[in-house]
Amino acid sequence: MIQQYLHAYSYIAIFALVGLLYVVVVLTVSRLLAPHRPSKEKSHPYECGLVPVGEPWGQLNIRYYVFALLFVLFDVETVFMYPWAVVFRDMGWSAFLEMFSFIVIIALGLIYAWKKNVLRWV
Amino acid sequence: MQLVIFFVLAAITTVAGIIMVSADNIARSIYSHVLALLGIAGIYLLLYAEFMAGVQVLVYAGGVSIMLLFALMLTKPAKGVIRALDHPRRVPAFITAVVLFGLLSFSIFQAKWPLKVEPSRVMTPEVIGKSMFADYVLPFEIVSVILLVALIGAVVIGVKGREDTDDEE
Repeated sequence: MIQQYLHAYSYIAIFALVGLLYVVVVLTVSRLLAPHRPSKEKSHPYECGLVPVGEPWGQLNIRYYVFALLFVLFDVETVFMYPWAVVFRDMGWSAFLEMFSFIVIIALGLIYAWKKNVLRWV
Repeated sequence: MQLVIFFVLAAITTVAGIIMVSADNIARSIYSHVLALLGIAGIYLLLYAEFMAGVQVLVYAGGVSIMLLFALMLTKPAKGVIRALDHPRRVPAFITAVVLFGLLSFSIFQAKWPLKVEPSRVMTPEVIGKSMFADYVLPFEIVSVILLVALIGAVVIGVKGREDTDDEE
């Protein structure tokens, strides 16, 4: 059981390791093989061939933050739906009603956000 | 074997945590924060808490870190130069850290840990779902109220910010 469990996750470990090695190997090979002749044009940040405009650190509108917060909240809501989806068939109506009221309470907040026009972009 | 994996994960988490608090660039410290959270997710997996590990990756390493980056990008950038973070209160920080470390290790060594988890008690989503929807219904519904509070708080902040930006425009 333990062996099986660890085995299943060893794939993730291998993936992470290979990904890490790939980055290290490619950067090392490029450093060893590529000629190093820097010039002003070459050291520009790459923006698909256009001349870069402005600072790399630009200030975003606060509206993005509301969307990020809403995303995290519904992310948490979704997390609760995983165990629910697994046991739903066995537990029947009680689980259904519990999840239903859970979603209704959160939907109240979504309606509030809607009424307050935060979801509108412009 | 498990001990080796644990020490590797613990080393990754600790090093990432140290980089997080000592980095001069705040974006770098957010990224090492992500690495530390992923290391903790790995430790959860080692403790057979699959669901916790999934939540850790989805919500913390994913959502919360993105939100931290957003919060960083909302701040006004320093004109011209990117200013390095300064660490002016090293001594109080050190004292606080030592006191907290002492308190936490004291309570960890004081507490009785009824451990030795049976391999059959791997916390699958099924086990969690059964107990959540049978024994812990009220806490589950309270979670929705807490989420509602957070949602309304976010909306209130958003409306306020909109008025501020409208004034500037």
